[in-house]
Amino acid sequence: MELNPGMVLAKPVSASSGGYATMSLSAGGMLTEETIAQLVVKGIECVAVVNTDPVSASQYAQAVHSYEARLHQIFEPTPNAHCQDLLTAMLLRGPMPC
Amino acid sequence: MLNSATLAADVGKLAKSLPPFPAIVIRLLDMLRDDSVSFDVLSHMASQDPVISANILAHANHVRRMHAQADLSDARVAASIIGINRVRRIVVATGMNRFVSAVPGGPFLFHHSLAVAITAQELAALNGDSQDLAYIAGMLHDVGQLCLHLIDETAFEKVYMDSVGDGKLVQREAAVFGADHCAVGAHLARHWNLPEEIYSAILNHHDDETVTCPLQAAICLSETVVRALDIPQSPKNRVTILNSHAVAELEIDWGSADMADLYDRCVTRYRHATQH
Repeated sequence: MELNPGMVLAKPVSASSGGYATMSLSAGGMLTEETIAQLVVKGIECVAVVNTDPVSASQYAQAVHSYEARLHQIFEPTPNAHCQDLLTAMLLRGPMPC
Repeated sequence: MLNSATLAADVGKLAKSLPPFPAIVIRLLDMLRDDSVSFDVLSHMASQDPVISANILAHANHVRRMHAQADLSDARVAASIIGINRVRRIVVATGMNRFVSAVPGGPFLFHHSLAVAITAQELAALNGDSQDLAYIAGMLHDVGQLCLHLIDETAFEKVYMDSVGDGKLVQREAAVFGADHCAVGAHLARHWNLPEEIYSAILNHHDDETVTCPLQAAICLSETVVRALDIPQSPKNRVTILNSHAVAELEIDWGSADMADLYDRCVTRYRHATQH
């Protein structure tokens, strides 16, 4: 999805160059033409914005079920202890909205 | 049959069947080695390539349209709007994507390489390492498979499919072809005079016990992360082994907020890059 003015940041955004912070935007801030231009210039490929069209609880539950079933396929047969840490993180993360 | 004693020469001959490595990426790497990337030189170089120029213009004109300004047609002026870092990333991504998509190996290899490149670049950014080198190494990490594909497509496909369940791809490749895709790809990198870190990253990207440098650790783990994220979606995606030394080298905590953001960025960037 392309960024447009009026979208609201869901997570903070920061950029640095040569060890110096060059951009810092807080979660909850609204994007403007100017901030989007700055994101392009700073080479920031993507940001998290608030979803204005959230899925229903049942749709989300179904997505979680499918996501977890797929993860268990990917991590089978029984993963070693190191893989288990990654699997746990992936399960906690949950599915991404499309 | 390949053999380790003559592998460099054999790979040199096979490289003639592949498209030429993008000269613009080699020149960019030379400039990075000198640590003196001049904006004028880079933007001039980029403006000589029609596809890279078009990408630079598209990014700059996207910004200008938001300000209701007319589109630009001069890539050097456009480059000055989007800045040197963005231009560098466009040069690397366009050059490498065009190269890997032009070689025989099918769409899966291209999409898998793209996912690994994006993830390696994100890990490099998190770790303060070179994002350009990470992207290039990610796009090239499986380039050795192309040579094995050229030698015997049917045998390679069988080896690949037989290994999906047990992950013993490199062992089967070595038994059937005399060398695995990691060794072949590393020699290709040397044939193209790419930096030693890229050679090492390609050579050891399936080594689950060793860390040679942060770039190798990033490529090794990116291979695992893209399979865990199921990008590109494929029944071949399996995670059964993980290089714990690479995790320690990059000080990764899989459950941290930074990594959660990284997973989302990787999936989003991959989807965006493949939807056009």
